[in-house]
Amino acid sequence: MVRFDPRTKLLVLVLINVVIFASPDIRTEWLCMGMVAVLLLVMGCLRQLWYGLLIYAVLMAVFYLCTLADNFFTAFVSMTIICIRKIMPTVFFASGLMATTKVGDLVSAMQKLHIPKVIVIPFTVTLRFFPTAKEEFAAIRDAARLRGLRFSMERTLVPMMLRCANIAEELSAASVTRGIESIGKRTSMRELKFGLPDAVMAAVFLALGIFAVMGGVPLLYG
Amino acid sequence: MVKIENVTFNYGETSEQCLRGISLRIKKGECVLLCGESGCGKTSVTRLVNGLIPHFYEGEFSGEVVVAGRDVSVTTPDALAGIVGSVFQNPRSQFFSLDTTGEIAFGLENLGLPSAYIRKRVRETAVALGIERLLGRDIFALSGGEKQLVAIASAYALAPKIFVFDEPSSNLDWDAVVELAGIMLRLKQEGRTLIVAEHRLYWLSGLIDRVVCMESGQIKHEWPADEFLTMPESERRGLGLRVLNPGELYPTASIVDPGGFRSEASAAVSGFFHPEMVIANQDVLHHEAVIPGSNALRVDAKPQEQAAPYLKVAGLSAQYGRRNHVLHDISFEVSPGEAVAILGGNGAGKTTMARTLCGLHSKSSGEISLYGINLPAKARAGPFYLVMQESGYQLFTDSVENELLLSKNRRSRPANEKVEDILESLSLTDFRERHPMSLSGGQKQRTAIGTAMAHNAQILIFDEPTSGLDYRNMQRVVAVIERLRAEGKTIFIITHDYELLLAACTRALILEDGNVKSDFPVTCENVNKVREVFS
Repeated sequence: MVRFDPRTKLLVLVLINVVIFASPDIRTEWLCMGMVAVLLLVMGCLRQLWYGLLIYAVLMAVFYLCTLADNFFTAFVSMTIICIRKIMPTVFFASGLMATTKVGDLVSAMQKLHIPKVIVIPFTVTLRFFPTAKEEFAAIRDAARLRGLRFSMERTLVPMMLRCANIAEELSAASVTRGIESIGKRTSMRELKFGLPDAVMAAVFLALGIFAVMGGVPLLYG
Repeated sequence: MVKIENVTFNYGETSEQCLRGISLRIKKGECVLLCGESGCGKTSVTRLVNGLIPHFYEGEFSGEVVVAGRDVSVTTPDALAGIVGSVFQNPRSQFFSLDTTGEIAFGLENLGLPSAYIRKRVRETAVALGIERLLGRDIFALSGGEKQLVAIASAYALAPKIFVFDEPSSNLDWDAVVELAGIMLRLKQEGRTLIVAEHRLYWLSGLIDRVVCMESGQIKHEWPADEFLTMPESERRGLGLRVLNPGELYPTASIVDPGGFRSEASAAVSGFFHPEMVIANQDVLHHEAVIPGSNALRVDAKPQEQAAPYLKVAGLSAQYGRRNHVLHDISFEVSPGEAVAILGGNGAGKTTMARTLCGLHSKSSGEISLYGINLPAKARAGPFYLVMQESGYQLFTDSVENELLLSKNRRSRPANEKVEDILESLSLTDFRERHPMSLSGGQKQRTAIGTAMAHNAQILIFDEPTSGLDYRNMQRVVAVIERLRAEGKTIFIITHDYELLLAACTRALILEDGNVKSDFPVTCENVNKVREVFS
């Protein structure tokens, strides 16, 4: 298991996006997925690695099946899959990033990158909110099932928004009493330092990024 | 240490005054209990001390608050962060990090302390509070009690001279409260000043030096601890306070004769099915059971025997995933009008049992039957209803009245007169037009109970119905439960509230590691058995 600096991880996240949107070629995408998979393995995120590859494999399989029959429905499914596939490498890596990065470290890393606080704090609160939103959603779904109500946007989202607004307020109050608004420079428990693994990872993905911008895998075939 | 001088505050221009001319002085090392009914302003006083009023909650503020020599109105909350540590009521909404270590470090990081010092301080904190076992854990996987300990640790890490607690025990079980009391005693012995706003009193008796009782935004009484602790229970009750010496309580729930409900309850149950199914007396029949709001569902109806038990749970097992077996072979029978307390520690299977009974979780084996009719999970949502701890989740519409009328389809919509009756019996008539989210916790809970009544639920399961409720609201819950029982409903209550248990329950079912450990009536003779569970 290798630990990377959160800043390097953020850089890689950006580079993965560059790769995916610079190169329309599917083989470049595969290459990128493969490299992210190796990276997750190195970071020790086996669970995220397993689920990510599984979902990707299923998507590819359905996509392939859709090419066998050519009608309106399969065209629609293929389009949807392409959209999901495009964000898969990013989500894949982001899941590993969240699993290996403490929120406090991420805040400090972003601050060291001179990203203003008005962006950093909402960003981290959003990340913090995913598990909460998941819990809230499950509770509301249970409540609807108890009353035999079917899922509806209005009935699910309205209580959820109200609940989340409530939690967000309590959460903000709690963080204020713990000095989130402090004007001075924030530090972090783990010292942020670039090391050799960071340099290697950054170089590899930078190379991949440049490769993708220049044309990706088709380049190799002339 | 703390000086509050003639403070008046209200949250917005429209809302009424929430603090009216409060003056209070607290010495260094003192432990002060703020008590009083819900809405009396005790939480607002804690917010004066940690600076959330007037910096976070803005409103009309007058008066003076001085904490450790600093005027709070001109000191920013982050400057107060190292002086006043705050612990809040809801452990779910006071964490910023996803892991415990990061959470304890969070305040230190905000104040910009060096990394090496932060690591050392996190370690020291865990050792001082005896919670090393909680370091490096996923916060979402902790129990409520463990979360509260982490919340204290993250405040403690900043070495504040003053700790402010806002109803810290309301979401905790008995064991966790005992541990909380132990840690607070340690804080006090270290010479820190403690300010605690609370309803539940019993766990604080060895801790407090002074008691301040509030009423509608004013300080009504002030006693030294010994005077408060020795006054008769009835006097404290008159002030809306919860019990101080649980050992002096005895069971008071009325005993309802189940026999009287046999036919009535049977008729009510049959309301969920085609009548002939319940009356059917021959072979196993297949009938369509009509469950309010969902598609018709096929139910195996067995011939009903003469004295078929009302609710029978036989050999019930349940699990999560393939390996995590939570309930093992649970069996019991319940009559109409009974109120059964489901007790047991963390992970004993209480929640899983409740969820399985209501059909939210499917059983892996066993039978759950009403009057001899075996009910599959889908058929149980309807006759079974769960009143959740946060009943706000259960309300979906824009007014209390519509909430009661909301149903799966037109056929199961309750009659208007029935809705009237329910509103009346739950004292909700005045709030019929109000949006459910604008109600207080107790009112939301009663609305949720009302929806169950409107749809003829026969078995109501309450999950911690009195967490964070004062004496008067607890009494209200007890009264509603008594009324439901008198109508022949069966009640299950998952609770850590000993006072509620004795006031409302007729029977106790104790779970341990997913098995029924014991099952006995709550009577004066058995009161020691109940006490054992809570010690």
